[in-house]
Amino acid sequence: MATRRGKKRPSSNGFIARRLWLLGLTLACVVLLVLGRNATSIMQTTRQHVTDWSAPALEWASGPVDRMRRFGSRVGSYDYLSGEVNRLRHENEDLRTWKMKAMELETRVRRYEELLNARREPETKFVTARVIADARGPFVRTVIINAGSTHGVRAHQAVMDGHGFVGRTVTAGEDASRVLLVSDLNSRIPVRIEPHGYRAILSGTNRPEPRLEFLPERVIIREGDTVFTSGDGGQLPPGLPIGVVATDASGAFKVVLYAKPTRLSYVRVLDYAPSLKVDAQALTPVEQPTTTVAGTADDDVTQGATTDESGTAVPGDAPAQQQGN
Amino acid sequence: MFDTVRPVSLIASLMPLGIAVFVVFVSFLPLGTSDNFLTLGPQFVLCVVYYWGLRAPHLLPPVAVFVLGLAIDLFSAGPLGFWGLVYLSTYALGLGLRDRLKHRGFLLQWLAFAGAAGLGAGLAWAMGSAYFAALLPPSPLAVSWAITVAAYPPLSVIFAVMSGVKLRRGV
Repeated sequence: MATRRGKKRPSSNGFIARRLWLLGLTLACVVLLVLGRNATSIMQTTRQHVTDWSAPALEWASGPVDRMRRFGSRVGSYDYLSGEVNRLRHENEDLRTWKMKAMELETRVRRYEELLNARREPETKFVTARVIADARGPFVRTVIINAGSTHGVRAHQAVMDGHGFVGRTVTAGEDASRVLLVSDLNSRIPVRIEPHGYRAILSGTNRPEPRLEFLPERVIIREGDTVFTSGDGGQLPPGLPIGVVATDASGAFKVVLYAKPTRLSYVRVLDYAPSLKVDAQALTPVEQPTTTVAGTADDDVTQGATTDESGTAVPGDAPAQQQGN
Repeated sequence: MFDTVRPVSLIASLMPLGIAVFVVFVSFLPLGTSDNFLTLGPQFVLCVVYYWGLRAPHLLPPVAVFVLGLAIDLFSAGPLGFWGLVYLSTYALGLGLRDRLKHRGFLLQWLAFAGAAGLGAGLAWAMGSAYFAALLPPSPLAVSWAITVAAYPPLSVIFAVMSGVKLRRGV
């Protein structure tokens, strides 16, 4: 292990030391892995600090990348631009018809809501942010956006791109936040499948198409049915478009997303804060009269169920699925 | 090229680490890669780690490899220590093969890298499946492994040129 000049090679000098370092650091990795499973809040805080600290550099570097991507997509689309113009013209005509129908329906729904004295959904505000880091790996699907608590972004807010639901924020620093994509293994989103309104949980699998789980028995779901957020749990607004139902080779239901997680550039973070206060008085059990009165079957069904101010049954309803939002 | 030269300046000695940090940084830019290619960031770091583990481990010490893995874990929101373990294993393989591959041609070194990267990818998949308690899809790792193996020759040329220019000067 000597060089031409008779000197010892640097590798032989540190041979044992390097191997000892290797062993020690491997053990450190194992300890970190074990600790990481238990001390998740510390790890998340550390991670968010690193994200905040590196956000300016990532934002600076991602600017030219974003411009190049947009320029590339413009050049790429030039070839079929004329065809696209015609297609979009036809689509625009169709959409105008749909817009008229939607406006008409909106007016009708509002009128019905007023008639029923139904409680309206709170208005959802949003913050537009740019994706500054594509922090995805083989086992995690997250991105980092350049908006944080100073811009009104909090953890557990819905994130949309121009096409549909992308995911939700998991941590929010001062100037940057991390978004857990809907395809991530840890993502669980309560959804509604239309036209029948079935409730289910959309579970990420680290594949591009997440899976539908916890479906009721004997459901009639067809490929092409649309999937929306259900709003169960009160963290995500209901009715956000997610994608369409498809089946995989084993016959299980998955969802082809409207959003394009691999081409994220700008996203909207929705600020949805519904009032989740429940009237405690309404939930106190009502004392039953001691005299037994013969009741109908309907009485039995509604017994014990109370209604909130909008007339919605509370405890009698199916329990809302709060899956890790 | 196996430890034949020693860096004469601080910049030259920091070159491998600089390359590795650059690769980590670039791998997190939103380049719009598809899901099959998204694992290339960590895998390209595997090239850097293996190359310097094999050629000049004194220029990329195990601590640097550990820090690189930690950086990937922190940025990607993966479990801490995960990529550090994969990189250190690959680095150790490169280190262990140093004497055997010293006088062999590049083809054999490349094949050895294919094996080391395959073991690294396999370890990552097994650890990921165990950590998340779910059988993770192996296809993204397999695709990125194939691309990483294909990318190793041009990358090693770039590393060699950089090290040759920077390290030989003044020896």
